[in-house]
Amino acid sequence: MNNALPVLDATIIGAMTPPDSKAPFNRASVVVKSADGRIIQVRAYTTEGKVEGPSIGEDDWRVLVATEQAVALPGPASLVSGAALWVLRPNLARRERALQDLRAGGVLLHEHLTGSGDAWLCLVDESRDAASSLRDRWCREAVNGGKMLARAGQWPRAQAEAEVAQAVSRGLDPEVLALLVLTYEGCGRDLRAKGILTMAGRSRGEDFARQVRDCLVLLRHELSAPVGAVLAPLRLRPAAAWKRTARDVADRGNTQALQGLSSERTAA
Amino acid sequence: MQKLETMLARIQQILDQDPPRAEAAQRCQASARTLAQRFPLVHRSVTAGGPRLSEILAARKLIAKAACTAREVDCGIERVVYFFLGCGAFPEGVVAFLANAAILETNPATYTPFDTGSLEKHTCLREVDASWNGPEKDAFLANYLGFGNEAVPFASEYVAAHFDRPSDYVRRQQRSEPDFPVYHGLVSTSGDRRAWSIEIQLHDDLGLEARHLEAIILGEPDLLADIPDELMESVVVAETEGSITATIHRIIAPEPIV
Repeated sequence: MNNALPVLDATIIGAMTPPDSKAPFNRASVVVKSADGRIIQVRAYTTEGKVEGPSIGEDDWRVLVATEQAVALPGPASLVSGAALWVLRPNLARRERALQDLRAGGVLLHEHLTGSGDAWLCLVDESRDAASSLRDRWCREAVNGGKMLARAGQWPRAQAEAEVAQAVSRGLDPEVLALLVLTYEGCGRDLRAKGILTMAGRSRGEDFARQVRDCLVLLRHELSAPVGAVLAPLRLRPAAAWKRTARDVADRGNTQALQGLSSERTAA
Repeated sequence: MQKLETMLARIQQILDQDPPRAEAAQRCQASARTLAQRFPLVHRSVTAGGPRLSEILAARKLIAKAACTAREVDCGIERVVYFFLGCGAFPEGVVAFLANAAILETNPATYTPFDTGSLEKHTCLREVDASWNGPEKDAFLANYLGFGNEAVPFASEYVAAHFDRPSDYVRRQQRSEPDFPVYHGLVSTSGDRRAWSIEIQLHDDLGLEARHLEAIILGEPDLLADIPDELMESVVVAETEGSITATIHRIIAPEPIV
């Protein structure tokens, strides 16, 4: 059941994320404690300067930490509205630079802590636009890196980049999922590739799944073109923009890609 | 443990005393039956004190634990994995496993039209003067404990007898009640739906194989990294951790069913 606390009365004592994970990046809601000892897992910050979320008993919190479902900070940290924990794990490509980005972007609330498995625990102020922009940029860089490696046939490294893109992405993104599918296929993991496509539709509906399939067709086309060829950029787009993208491809004479898109649409 | 006929006879007894309610039950019986046929078993996981998702997936099974209360042990339930039938009545945990109810045909299990754990301190009897102590609670559990392979046919009659619109059994909020008083007379002291949601007690581990699973709902997309390849197509990523219950209900009853 949801409870509320004034931000000013609370400190951060930890976050709801396991100390280690296969994911290169985790975003976790923080766990805060009020002066009178109440503990809340933050689900939302209100405009009235409060945090809201389910309450956690003191014993339950200890159990959550002991069973490695949550991490406790070594000491309480001051809470600001919008605070969340970002975990940068060793398998996050360009991790050092990501940390520098957080510092330079002014979104790091405290100097990072090193957790289990050399994970870097960063308390971040997500109320600042820079925080979202950084995740979007890291995602874009990972997508571009993954595409470049895929073009070179370096599938395991391309897959690692696609997984970084998925981990830092703010939600499910059709282009990122398409890249995941492509790289899993490249690594011979057809079952996982097929599973990602099914998961996309079950999670966000058939329109979203269609966007993923469209992105996949464009991505395959882009990667099959000669290096240096000028192609329509592969961009995340709403389903309504599909026709325009198909027209752009056709205008450039990329009939093969257009046929691919059309057949995908027909199949859908 | 009670056979289906005995369980249903008690519901019928209540309906016989209330003709308008009996008519309402009759009206939605067919749709309740259709809905119940697609009820999955819902297990919320990765909660305080429970295993982590990576541990569950490494074992590839939901491991049955010792029953929560001695009362259950006295009824022959020693090891158990708890589920709710056709709804996400347990509100915690960042992952939900939706298992196919067909597993009840081949695995030892029991069911109750309430959360067995809630008998301990979260419920009382609607009849305020009734005694409600250890012996009465023991008898109550024994009286309302059914055979797992009869849970789905029971659910269709139970839902029809308690809701004007069968899908409301699925979609009701955490703090809510059925449209008609629950036939067994148990009520939650906080208005929690666990006092009337059907609990399944699976008496053995459940192997996490794709054929047993209707869905694995993740509260966070970064948990995708933990999912093994062969289970990926069972995954549904909820919009947020707070929307897992809504996602469960969307899968079971996407539209209101009258």
